[in-house]
Amino acid sequence: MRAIVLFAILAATPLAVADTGSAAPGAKIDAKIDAKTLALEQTCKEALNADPKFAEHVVATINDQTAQQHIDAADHIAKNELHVIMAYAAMWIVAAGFVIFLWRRQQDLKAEIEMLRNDLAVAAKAEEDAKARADADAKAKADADAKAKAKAKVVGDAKADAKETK
Amino acid sequence: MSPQTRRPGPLLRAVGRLLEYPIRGIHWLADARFTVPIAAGIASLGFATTLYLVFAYAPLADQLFFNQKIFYYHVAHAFMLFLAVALCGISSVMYLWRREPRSDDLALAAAELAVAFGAVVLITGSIWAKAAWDLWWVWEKRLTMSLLLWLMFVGYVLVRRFAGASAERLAAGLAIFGTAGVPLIYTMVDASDHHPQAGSNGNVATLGPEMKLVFWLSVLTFAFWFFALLISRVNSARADREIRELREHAADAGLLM
Repeated sequence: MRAIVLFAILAATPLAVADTGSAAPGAKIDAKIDAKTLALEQTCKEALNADPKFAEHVVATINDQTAQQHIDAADHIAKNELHVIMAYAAMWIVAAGFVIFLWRRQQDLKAEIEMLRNDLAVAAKAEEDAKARADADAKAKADADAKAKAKAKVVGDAKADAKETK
Repeated sequence: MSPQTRRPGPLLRAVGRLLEYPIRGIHWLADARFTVPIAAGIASLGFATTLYLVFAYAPLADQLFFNQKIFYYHVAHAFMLFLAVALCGISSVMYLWRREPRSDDLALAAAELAVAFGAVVLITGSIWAKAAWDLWWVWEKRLTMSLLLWLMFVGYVLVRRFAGASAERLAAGLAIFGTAGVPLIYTMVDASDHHPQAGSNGNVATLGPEMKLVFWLSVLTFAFWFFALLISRVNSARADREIRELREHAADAGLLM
């Protein structure tokens, strides 16, 4: 009987805590829990009042359990390596990401410089070609002029010779 | 007299000179060839040393125990975030005032670093919150302000990327607005009820001597790391701008279409 009562007390404690902490989604469920809790409370009260030694034993058991929970929680915090590893890993991942971003920007800049160099080379070649073409045109024109002058001179000389012969 | 020709008063000129020192200094370092390798090398040594010291030398904290190891990198990153934001703010003020492109190059580099370091602060802070409070996030004053500051600098980077012709000026305004939030966040530790406390009074000065040594070494290491990244990014921003200007000059001269 005592074991059942002790079990009921231990079982009712988290139930009551959970009940006070929740936002009560349904009134019917709350009413059922309240009725169950009240009944358990009544049984517990009667059992505790009937035997003071048993009450001391229950308190000691709950205290031990609570103390153990605290020890476990402290132990978990003291040895919590997972979150520390996660935090340090996150830092290195972001750092690596930024370095990769910088490296990619550097590659883009190199490509941009290469493109500018090619564009300038093409533009310089086009200008050179245009200049060469202009020079060739000018030369051709000068040659044509010279030829025309020479022809005119020959024709003039021939006409002069013909006049003299007459 | 037009606003362009109006000469600023002596006080304003003194403030201008004072604000220009960090910009000049960083560009001077960026001109030096070996700045980035030296700073990155010292930072690498610092990483190895501080990792060893954090886990093998620094004692466990009274209440947070092993979780407190996150503090050494989390707070060092927060300091670098504040430095990046301050540099971005100063450069933005100078850019809006004098329209010097070198100020804008530094502002852009510092803003991107503020985003990177801010992300680490928020992520490691969230992981620490989970470890200490069993919650990933709490909408308390300091966390919320830090998130807003980070979002502002994410906004800066997005404006620079997508806002078009007047992006520099728009982003500079945003950076100045964001910089004003830094003192608020820094002083928020006293007003904050929930933020994990570094020392017994929430003050770094109240840490034990071993913890203090490891913490300041971490800060120094991350300062070198920060400057290596900053100068590298300033150089690439400068090169980017110079290529753009060269293209414009070549187009003006009729060399390029």
